[in-house]
This record gives sequence, C-alpha cells and structure tokens, in this order.
Amino acid sequence: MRKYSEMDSEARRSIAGRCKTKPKPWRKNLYDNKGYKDNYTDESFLEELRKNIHFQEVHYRAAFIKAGLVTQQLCVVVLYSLLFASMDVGWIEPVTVLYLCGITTTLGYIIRTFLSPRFERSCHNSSKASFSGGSIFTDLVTVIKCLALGYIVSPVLKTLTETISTDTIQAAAAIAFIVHLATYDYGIGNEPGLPYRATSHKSDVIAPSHWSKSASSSDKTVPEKYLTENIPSASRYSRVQGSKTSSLPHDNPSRTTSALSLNAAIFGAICLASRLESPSHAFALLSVAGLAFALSPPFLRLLHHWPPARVAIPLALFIATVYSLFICCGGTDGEDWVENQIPVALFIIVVAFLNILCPCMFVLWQTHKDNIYGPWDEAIPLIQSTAHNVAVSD
Amino acid sequence: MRHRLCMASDFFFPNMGGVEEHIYSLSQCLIARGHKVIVLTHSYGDRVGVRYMTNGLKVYYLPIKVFYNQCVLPTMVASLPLIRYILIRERITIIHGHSAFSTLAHETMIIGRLLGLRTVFTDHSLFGFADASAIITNKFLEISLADSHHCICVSHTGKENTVLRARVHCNKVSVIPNAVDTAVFTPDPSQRDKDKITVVIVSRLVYRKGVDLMVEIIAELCSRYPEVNFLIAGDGPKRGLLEEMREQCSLQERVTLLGSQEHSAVRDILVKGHIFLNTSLTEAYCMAIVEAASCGLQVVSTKVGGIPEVLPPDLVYLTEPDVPALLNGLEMAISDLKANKCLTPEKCHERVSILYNWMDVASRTETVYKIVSQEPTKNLGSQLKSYIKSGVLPFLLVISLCYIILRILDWLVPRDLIDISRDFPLPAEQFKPNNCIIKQRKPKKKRKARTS
Repeated sequence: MRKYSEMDSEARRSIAGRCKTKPKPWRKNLYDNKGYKDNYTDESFLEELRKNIHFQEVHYRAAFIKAGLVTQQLCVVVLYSLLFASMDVGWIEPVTVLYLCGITTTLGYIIRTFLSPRFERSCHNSSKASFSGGSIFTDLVTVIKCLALGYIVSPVLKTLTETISTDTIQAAAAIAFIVHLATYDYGIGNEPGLPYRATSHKSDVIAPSHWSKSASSSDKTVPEKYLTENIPSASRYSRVQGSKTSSLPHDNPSRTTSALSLNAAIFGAICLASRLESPSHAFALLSVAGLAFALSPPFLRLLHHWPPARVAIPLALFIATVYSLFICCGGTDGEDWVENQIPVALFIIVVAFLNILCPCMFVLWQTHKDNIYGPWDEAIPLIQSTAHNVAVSD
Repeated sequence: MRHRLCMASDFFFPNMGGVEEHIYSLSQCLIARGHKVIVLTHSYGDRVGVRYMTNGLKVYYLPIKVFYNQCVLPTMVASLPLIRYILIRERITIIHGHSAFSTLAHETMIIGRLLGLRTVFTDHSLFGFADASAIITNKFLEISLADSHHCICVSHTGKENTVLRARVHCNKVSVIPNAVDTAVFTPDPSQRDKDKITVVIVSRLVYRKGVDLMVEIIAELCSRYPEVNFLIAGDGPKRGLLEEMREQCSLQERVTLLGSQEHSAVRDILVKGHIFLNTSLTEAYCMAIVEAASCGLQVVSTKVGGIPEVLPPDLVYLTEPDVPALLNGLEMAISDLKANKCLTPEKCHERVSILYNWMDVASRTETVYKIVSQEPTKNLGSQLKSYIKSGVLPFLLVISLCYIILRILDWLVPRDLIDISRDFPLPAEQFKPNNCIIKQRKPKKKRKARTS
C-alpha cells in the first residue's frame, strides 16, 4: 500500500503545480471536472480504502483451546486405527470389542440424557438435531436397525475389497481419515461461550497523513437530496458486516463439511474392516466406527459446554492415545525398544506441532492480516426475514 | 494522426451487455473521427470469420472455442499465429483490450506488445480482494497489465480498484466514463400512464443486481401504494424469486415481467415509466441509470461502486443497499413526483445529453492513443523486466516462448507474404466531425504506394 502513496506523491505535486491556475476543485464524479486531465490523480485518491474491518483478534487461550479440538479428533482417529491393528493381529476378540462398545454407548447415552436438558438453551444446532430423538424406545429401535443392517452386510464387506492389495486399502483409509480430519466441523466461530474477545470494526485509514481528510467530513458537501440516510462512510462498511452475520443463516458451511467428514471417516472404516479375518471382526470394527465418528462428535460437543472439559477431554484422549500406541508398539520389551517407539515420538511431535506451534503462529501472524475494503466491494444485501422471503430462499 | 486500432475482447455482439455496447459505440465514433477500427472476438455459434458492421467496422470472429463464461482458454501459443496474422494484415498500431475477464484481450495485448505495438486496456468491472477467486484473478490482471502502456477505467472508483488490483501506476490510468446515445434515449411523456405511477426496472436478474432486494421492495411498496405498478425487463437465474413473490402477494396485475429484451426495445420500455429503480450490489459505472435519466425518469439507485459519480444529485436518489433505505428513496421519488417537484423529462434529457456523449468519449480516448503512440518501443529485455515486477517468474518463460514462436513464424510465414487488407472507404460526408480527415488522406496514399 505504501508503495503507491510514495510513487504518487511526486507526480501529484507536479500536477498540482500545473493546476494552480484552475480554481475549480476536483470532485470525484464523472461530469464536472472539465480542465483536468483524464489521468489526473487527486489527493483524495484511495481515501475510502479501509483495512481489516472484520478483524477479530484471537488470543492465545482461545487459539490453544480451538487447537485442542483438532488434537481430540486426531486422537480418535489414531485410537481407531490402533483398534484395527490390534484386531488384525488378534490381540482383541470381536466379542470384547462389541461388549466395550455397548457399555460405552449406554454410558454415553445416560450422561447425554442427564446433561442435554441442562444445555438445551445454549445447545448448538447440529448437536440438537442429532439428539432430539425423543424417547428411549425410538432410540433403541434406531440402534437395533443399524446393528442389524451392519450385521447383515458385514460378510459382504469382508469380501468387498478382496481383489485389492492391502497397501492400496491402507493408503485409501489414510487419505479418507485425513479428509475426515480436514473437513471435520470444529465449530470455529459458532461455538457458544468461547472467550473470543472481539475487537470488531477496528478500521484504520491507511492513507498517509498528508492526504488527511477524514471520511466523515466529506459528507458535509453532500446535498440533502443525495442521501436519504446520512451515514458516515466508515460506518457503512460496519453495517454491511453486521448484516452479513444476520442475513446468511442458510449458508452455514459446516453442514456440508461435516457430512463430507462423516462420509470420509466411514469410508476409511469400511476399507479397514474389509481387511479383517472374519465377518464378525468387520462388524465389530464398523460398530466402533459408528460410535467414534457418528455418535461421539455431538456428544463431545455437548461436554464442551462445560469449560474445563475443553482442556480435559483432549488431554485425556492424548494421554490414552500415547499409552495405547506405546503398548501396541511393544512397550519396553526387547533390546531395541527405543526404535520400536518411533510412532509414539512421531505422534507426540505431530500433536506438539498442531497444538503448540500452529496456534502460536496463528496468533503471532495475525499482525500480517491485510484485508482491504472500499467502495468497490460488493454490498451484502440486508434481507428482512419476512415469511415469504424465508419460503423463497429455502 | 490516424490510428489503426484493434479492439480485442471476448465480449461482442451478438452477446449483449455494457462492454459490448461500449466497444461498438466507441468504435463507431472513432471511425467517424477518421481512424481505422477492427474488432477481434471469438466465434459465437456459427458466426465465424469476418463480418462488416455499420460504417465498415470489421469484426473478426476467431474460430476459438469458448472455455468458461464466454471466455477462451488462454493458451498463449495456440491462437498466436492467427492473431499475429490479423495484426499484420490489418497493419494495426494500437491494441485496445476490453474487460478484465476477457482472456482474448489479454492474449492479444501480450502478443501485440511482442510485435512492438502499443496497448491500451479498458477495465469495465470492479472486483473485491477477499476471496480466493479474486486473489487469482487479480494476480492474472497484474501480470497482464505489468507492461501495458495505458489503462482506462470507467469511473474513479474503478480507477482506485484497478490501481490496487493490478498495481499499475495511477498516472497510467485514465478515467473515461461510458456514454449513452442520447439521440436514441429520448423522453416521451405521452407514453406514461396518467393516473398510475410506473416503476421500471431494467437489469439482468442475477444476484449482483440485487434481485433479493428488489423482491422485498416490490412486495412492500405495492402494499403501501395502490397506485404504483412495476415493469421489469430482463431475465436471469433469479427470475423465479420475482415470479414467486408475485404469486404470493397476488400482484399479477401490477407487476409485469417482460423477460429478456433487445437493447433497441429498452427505450420504449423506459418511457412508459415514471421512476427507474436500480438495486445493483456492485457496479463500475451503470449505464442503465444514465439511459433512464436520459429518458426523463426519476432514478432511485443504490449507492455502490461508481454509481455516486455518474449522475448529478438532482437527477438521482441515492440510497444505501438495503430495503428500508431503498423504500425511503422510492417514497421520496413518489412524493416529489406527486408534488411536481422534480425536473421535467425534457429537462432531464437535456442535462444528461450535456453530460455524456460518445463523441466526447472517443476524443478523450484519442488523447490516450496519442500518449501511448508517443511512447518508445520496448525491446524484449525491457518487456521481461516489467513482468518481473509482478513476481510470477515462470511467466517470463511464457513470454519468451511466445517471442521465439513469433520469430519462427517470421521465417515460416514472412510478413511480406501476408496480404495487406484494403481499408474500408472512409465514412460518408455527414459523419466527419471536421475536415481533419481530408488532411490525413495524403499520407495514407503514400503509405499504400510504399507497400505496393
């Protein structure tokens, strides 16, 4: 930005010297600047440029807590993969897995039933949608239906990918889980009660001081008829910003991404399940997939309404994952156990990167945010939500 | 000085729109001022080859397939031989590209510069900076304009936008507005409904034109004023919204949807109305409000982009782009109309015809041509140097490749083997603005003698 002003100041001075004889001041319109050259650049050039209007400063605390959500989901994926690995080598029997799965689901369901009404008011849209099941009976019917379907199709799944090599399947599953993690709805920005200290409408005029003519002073010259509402131009953009949040409830991007996320995770789960030795193995693994990827996200989101849980759950999951990974990699047995523990180290490094380095970079690099706004921006229409409009836009 | 101009753009008739209008009208006026003008565009359906339009405006419809949004795929090398052939054949001296979205314009300008020609670019649109597509498009524009000789914008807001987007020096950007053929857009108050007030809307029915606002406003205003009717010309993906609103509020009698209209029919629609409503969300210039004002209508418009610069305050009611403000503006227009406080249609027409005419635009564009034709010719090295500024270094390879292909073509298809096309005879006597054309005939004959 500074480049232009420096470049121009000299040229402008020379033009100003030439224009001294013309008393009529230049005005920003297309009809009464006779006598000025077409490429004349006035002092008011880029006067209406604003920077970082919608800027919301994120503090370290919020950044770390948000990053914890990524870690949490990463842990779920790693734990799931570990479960696959241990079933593949035969450490865990499918029946054990199913028992554990049943107990966890029942426990979760009971906790949910008690907690849900407490947070009902502040409940997030999507968690409400998936939990408004009604009575225990209907929920039970749903569970039985899903289990029956899973049980019926698991022999098919078992032989589904027989012709494809294991490497391919593992690669596909890895990609699917990465897609799951990338598109998961971490609820950024629409989670209630997070300590966002919003310093919105923080606009600074970037024009150098010698151009100084404040935006609001120009309004004096505007004839009465020119405006039906006399709003200083600075507030115009903030109005636009306000309308953006209020007028676009339908365009919540998290809906599409969370669907994609769930699909990717289930695809990965099916890929892995098809590698196991028997249909009952596949069925057990798929049931866990349903638990881990379909039921746990809204449940965890519900728990996150209680602030300490935002730190505690990712931390607990992280410790559990590191421990399981450590056990699966053979613990401290053998001569070269340090070499066997490389996956543990990798996992810790990844989590450190995600949870410490990334939030720090995000917070530090906020100063480089340089969005520019001006009269050329597309206005965002403020639509009143009258009855017919809602019908139309849906 | 007589220039040989090539207007290059993906957008030209039979396509309809502001850019097409601009190119056609500007070309006609430049021809009338004694210049030679050809238009370069891609083929439209079976319209391929050369066509002559009024006053010998030669249009080349290049046989290139459309890639996306009426634009050709910018391959840089594929259409190079053809463009080179045409530029040499027509002995072009200045290339004038139109519209930032037109890839053909950018391609032709880059090839033209490598051939040592001058290039001028007119930007017709505004663009934001916020999303990914804007960032990419702006980078492309920056690359393309890095070495351009001059830019023209249609409004001061457009100039600010172009200087920021393409990082061109602000003294290299001129502001020359569009104009309106005021001889066509004349008022005719006898066509108006005597006891009703008709609000006319002429626009494509797309999101950017604020159709969502339009729907709300029509429903609300019709319930407040039983004497107000709406006349809407234009078509687009958002037409369904308007139709649905009309059904739900049972306004079939009062809201007329005319659908897509020929540009020549627009005047007859405009004169039927008292008030013109424009709800655009972004607009570099907005020809529609000037046409409406020229037909003597009260114009109510959103205050976005370059619109506040276009008409003087006594011809337009400017409002914020939201429903209450626009309704307020319309109510003021209606009450002024009832109290007879507004200018008469004839007065409006008179004022607009003083403000804007194409001959003025053409003479101002001529000044730009004069400036660029005096600039020194850059060799390949200094051209490449100006592309370095943009920071996309691989593009230097593209330019170099184009240059090498041009040299190979100079050997394969030598310049002296390319037929020089005969110029269309100068236009009839009444088009001549002054006798300067007669003076220019002599050097033209000399040139012909030299080439033959």
